[in-house]
Amino acid sequence: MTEDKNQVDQEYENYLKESLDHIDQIPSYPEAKQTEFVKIGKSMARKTNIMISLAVLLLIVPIMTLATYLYYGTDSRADRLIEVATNTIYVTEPNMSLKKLDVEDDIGFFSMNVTFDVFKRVGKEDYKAGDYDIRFLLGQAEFPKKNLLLDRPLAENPSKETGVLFHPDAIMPYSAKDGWDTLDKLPDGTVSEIYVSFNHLMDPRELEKSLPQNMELRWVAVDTGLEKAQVDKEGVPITPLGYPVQADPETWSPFKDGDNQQAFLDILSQLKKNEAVAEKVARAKSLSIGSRLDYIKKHEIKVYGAVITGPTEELRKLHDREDIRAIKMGEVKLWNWE
Amino acid sequence: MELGVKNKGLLQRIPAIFGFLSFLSALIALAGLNVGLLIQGSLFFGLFVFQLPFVGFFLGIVGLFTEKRSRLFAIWGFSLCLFLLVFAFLMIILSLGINYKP
Repeated sequence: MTEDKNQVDQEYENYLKESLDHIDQIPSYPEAKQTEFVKIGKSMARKTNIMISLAVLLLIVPIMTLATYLYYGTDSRADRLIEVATNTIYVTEPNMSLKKLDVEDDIGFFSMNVTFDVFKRVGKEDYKAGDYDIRFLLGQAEFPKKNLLLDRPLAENPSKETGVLFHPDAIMPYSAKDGWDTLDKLPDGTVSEIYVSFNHLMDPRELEKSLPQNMELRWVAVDTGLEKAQVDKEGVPITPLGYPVQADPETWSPFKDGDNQQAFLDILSQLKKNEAVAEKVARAKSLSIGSRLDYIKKHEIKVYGAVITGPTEELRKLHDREDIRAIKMGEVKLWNWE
Repeated sequence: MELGVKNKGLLQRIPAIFGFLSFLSALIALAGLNVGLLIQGSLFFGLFVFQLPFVGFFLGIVGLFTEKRSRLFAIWGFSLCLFLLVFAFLMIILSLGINYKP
């Protein structure tokens, strides 16, 4: 054991001696040169530090961008938010539609901007009614920036006084005569959009059948149990919930199949799960989707108001109908009823 | 102990130079990508997201074979270029998945 240790020590001493001999063989630098080497070493270390710091700083923006895309891309979060926003328009804005294929998204740092145009059918043509710009901060929607091109836009802050469609039991803030007077004063050869309030609830199919041929039923307001009071349980004003009656030819429209009642119920179920987003997009700051959906499922779909478009002289004929409580004028355009 | 002279051949230095070039190309690519993302423009996007990182990736691999010299630059260059290539791939996949239009 002791012999082995001595042998190892001897080997180690030999190795040290060889190394020292090897170092002695290496020609040494003068002191000035050595100082220069130290300077070069320092400069190299500084350069390395700068480059690594720069790399770390330059990684911040790409990592933030990638994280944002991963957030919106996984679980189809962006698509769901876009769908909720666009579907809210269909069911809360009377006679308003959009082209889902033209919806644009712009993803920034932890945010997404969704922009799209909205259209209104007046007569036989769809007119651009404006555009929406909705900013999402991750999953939270901000109030949309709207640029509406309408002559008679609906109130941005809805109240009982600014409504256009009224439940049979709701108090109307304006005279039933006003709308007819305006319609009478419009020239023939124009097409109009009117908001019609009925004096009783009715089945949407019956309503469509009962209308004369030379006009089109565009959108119906559905009784959801809160329309009589026009406010929710907390007293916040609500706006009508409804759906487009005609099948939408747009490829990705929820109403393309023609079963618009079912599509309406499906949208309400979707909005119920994403009510915070829907309430930001809608004009009304309370939608109370849960209780209203339950009411509809319990009482079936009954409508109390509608948006109708057609030639102005044809719309005047509706004055003879006894079940119409009042009308309110919407948009008026030049003749396009061919 | 005094500093001594060690003779280093050019062949030994080449991988280290490749490592440095890899790091440099990754930094240039990252800078370009930052500008592109901040101004939301696509000018030279392919150069900064595909071509430079691609070149830097292979330079970095060569740099990793450096012996007796630091592989620090090569490791950084290789890693950054790999990140940029993965970034480009993920961005393409995610962009196509979000608000997909035929």
